[in-house]
Amino acid sequence: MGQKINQTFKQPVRQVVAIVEDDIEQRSLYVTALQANDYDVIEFDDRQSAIDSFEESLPDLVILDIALGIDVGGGFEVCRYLQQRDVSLPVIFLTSRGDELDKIYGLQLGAWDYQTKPVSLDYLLVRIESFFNIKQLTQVRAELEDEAADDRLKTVGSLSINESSMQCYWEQHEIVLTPTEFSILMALVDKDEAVSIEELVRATRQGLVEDNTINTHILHIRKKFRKVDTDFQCIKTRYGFGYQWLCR
Amino acid sequence: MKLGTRLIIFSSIFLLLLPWLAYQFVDKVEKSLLQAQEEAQSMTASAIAMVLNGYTGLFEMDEHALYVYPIRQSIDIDGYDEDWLELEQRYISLTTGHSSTADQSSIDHQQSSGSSLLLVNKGSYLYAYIRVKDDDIVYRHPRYRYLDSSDHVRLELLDEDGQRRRFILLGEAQGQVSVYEVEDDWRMWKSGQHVNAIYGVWQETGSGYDLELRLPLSWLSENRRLSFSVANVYGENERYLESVVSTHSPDSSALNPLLFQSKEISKVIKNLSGSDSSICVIDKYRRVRAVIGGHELDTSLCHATDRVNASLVSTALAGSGQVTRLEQGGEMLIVAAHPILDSDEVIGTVLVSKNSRQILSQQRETLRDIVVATLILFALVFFSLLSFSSWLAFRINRLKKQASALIDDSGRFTTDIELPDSSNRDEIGELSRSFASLLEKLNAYTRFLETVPRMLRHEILNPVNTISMSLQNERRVNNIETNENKANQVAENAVQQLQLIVSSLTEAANIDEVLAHDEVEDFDIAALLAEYVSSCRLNHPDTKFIYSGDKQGVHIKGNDLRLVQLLDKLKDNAIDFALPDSEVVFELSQHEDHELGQRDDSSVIIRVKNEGELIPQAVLDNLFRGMTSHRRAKSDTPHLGIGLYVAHQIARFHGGKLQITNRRDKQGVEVSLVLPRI
Repeated sequence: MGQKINQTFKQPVRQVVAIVEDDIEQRSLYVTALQANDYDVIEFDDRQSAIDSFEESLPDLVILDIALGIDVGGGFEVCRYLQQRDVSLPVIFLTSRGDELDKIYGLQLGAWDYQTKPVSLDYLLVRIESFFNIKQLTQVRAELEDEAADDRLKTVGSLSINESSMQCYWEQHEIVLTPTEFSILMALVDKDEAVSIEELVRATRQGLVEDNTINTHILHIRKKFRKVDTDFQCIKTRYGFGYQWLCR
Repeated sequence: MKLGTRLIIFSSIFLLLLPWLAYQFVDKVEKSLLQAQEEAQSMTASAIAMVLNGYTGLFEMDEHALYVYPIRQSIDIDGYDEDWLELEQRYISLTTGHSSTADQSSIDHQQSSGSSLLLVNKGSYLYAYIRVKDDDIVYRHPRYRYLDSSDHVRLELLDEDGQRRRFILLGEAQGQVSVYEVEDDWRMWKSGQHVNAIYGVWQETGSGYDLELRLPLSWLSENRRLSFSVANVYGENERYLESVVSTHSPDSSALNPLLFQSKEISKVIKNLSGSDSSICVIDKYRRVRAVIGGHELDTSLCHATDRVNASLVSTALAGSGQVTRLEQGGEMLIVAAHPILDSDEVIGTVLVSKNSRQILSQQRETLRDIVVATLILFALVFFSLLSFSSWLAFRINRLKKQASALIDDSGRFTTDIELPDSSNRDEIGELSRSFASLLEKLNAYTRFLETVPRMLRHEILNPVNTISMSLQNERRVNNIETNENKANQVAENAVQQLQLIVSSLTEAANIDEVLAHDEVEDFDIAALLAEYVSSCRLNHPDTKFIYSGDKQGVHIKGNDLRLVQLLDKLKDNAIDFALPDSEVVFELSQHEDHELGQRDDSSVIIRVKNEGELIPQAVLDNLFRGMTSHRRAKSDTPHLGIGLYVAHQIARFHGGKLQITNRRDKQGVEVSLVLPRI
């Protein structure tokens, strides 16, 4: 234990998925499912062995359990390490910890998805595939955007958004948002009418997100706007449905 | 009753005993002092009597002696007795010719039936006041030659040369009397010259006449003897001597010796007198022979021995000493009497009197000091006890408040267990430590209970995940559709149900903790509800939602999203249990007190009604406890009753109350949420 347990090299085009999970049975089931879908899989059972391996080379996507044996927050630490190495690396938490606070914390660390056990393998595989697509698209878009970054600046009322650089300004003041919060804001301003919770969940590129998680994200977004504008009232709650951006 | 009040009452009772005990003590001391004083006075009286025993000659006196009283004020010779009033009781009767003060009633009798006399001495004069009873006063008339042919007073004395001389005092009318020296027969004057040295005034009274007179003491011989006689005359044309009453006995022509207070006795006892005690020496005829010291009151007491201490003097004259206490003018006198003996014969008595004013004033001062000291002590103890009990009560209250503040309404610990006085060594400190220890154990148990759902979730979800993925992998490997493998599908459904159960349990376990982090603000519940019902119509097109009530303008304080979460639970329940094609009604109204029939503006009530199965009355009260479900829902999801528990906690967080009742029309169930209004 504490070492890279299995490493499979196939065709160079195959994506590498790393799994950090302390339960050997669950880990082997993930490996089976992923390999069956033509991914190369590297697996680790604790934080240290994972980080040692990531020091040498980063995989294309990482699946993390939060509690790694007695290392109860090991998954979070690995995620933090990975975000420092490569902010665009997709990270998915697969965990039994379903508390709101854990979810928010995990997402704020930069994870792309936070799924609670039991996991739907079908859904997981679809998400992984879509993340690879997004990643690829983002890379292509980034190359194009570098050429004409200013074209990507979107202005809605007093709000200015640079989608490529994920920067946001309210009345000329910059609002620093997390990627998840930025995605929610984009979803709100893209639509004239109210946006349902389900749409917002989809926009966050996350799986089984509960209403309260979105509510918490909205709360954080409002707070950040109110720091620069105490009278900020542009995000209206549509009770029982979702939210709406009013200031157009 | 409060602790401090009890303490003060109990201690006050004991404190109040102090002055009582002090009074008892002072009383005993006073008695003892008075007794000591009595003994001291008795010894003084005895000592004086012993000294006077050696001067028995001083008491040798004729029993017919006329006592001459000392008098303080000057006497105006006018025939009226206003200057003599202080000695009103001292008149002697001329019937017998000697004083018989032993029998007071006989004096009064004689005074009323005959003539009486009082002698006093002031300066160099001897004064006499004679009261005569006479129904028919006969004045002198020039027609009669003899001087005794009218009512008159006779004075006989031994002059300085020892010669017996006779003087007649008579009047022709009221006013100054004529005084002549007369022959032995009282009829003829010796020289016809008026004796000016003897001056008297005659005044008529209702029952006769009074004669007030004076004569110089220097006229009297050394042994001072004289006698007064009153002669009564009657007859109009012929005058006859009817009677003569005298100070000396009828069968004796001896003159009465005059008895003054003895200078010799005074000299003897003067040195024995205390500064504040008075001494009276009284002879066997109860005449005061000497008065030394004392105040005015005591002096008058000496003079009034027959009236005030008659029994005391009688006892002493009977031969035995006695001490008595007399109340006089609000003050107490201690009077000791001791007989003066000549051989075995009692010749007089010594009275030593002293005012107990000093002892009583000492007693009063002591009592006053004790009362003042007690009051100060009482005040000190009272305030000390008050402060102490307040301090104790404050500490107990502080302990109670802090212990109560540690746990919120739902029994959860809100802060770290830190109780006041825990380092104190007294009982409250001990109580605080016991509290802290108990609460620590309770906290540990509560924390254990709180972590149970999380631990359970973690421990259950991992094997559940393993089962779930195994099933999914199996399906994928065998490349079969879910509905083709019944067993696989049932197992996956079971896994989903397990997941929901664990998820619900976790939500219920964490709800209070999550609520505590929620922000609270004012919002319009009417607008929220109206919009919520509109959203419900969009999200659930198969169900008919009705909203009745204001659409805005009803403000409450709370967290709007949590109320939406609560409404979701109620809405889900209502949809699950509603009959097909029936309505789910949301209603917002002001709270109405059914008992009083009055509207209560301080709260709003939200009702969610559905038509469907009723809930047995007996189980209505247990619906919010969690893990209780009493209806069979039409949905496939498991019903643990946890949703209602969470809804109840959210309502309570808002200071409201959630209630589930069967509708009055028995068509379904009504959930009411009462919330305080701003």
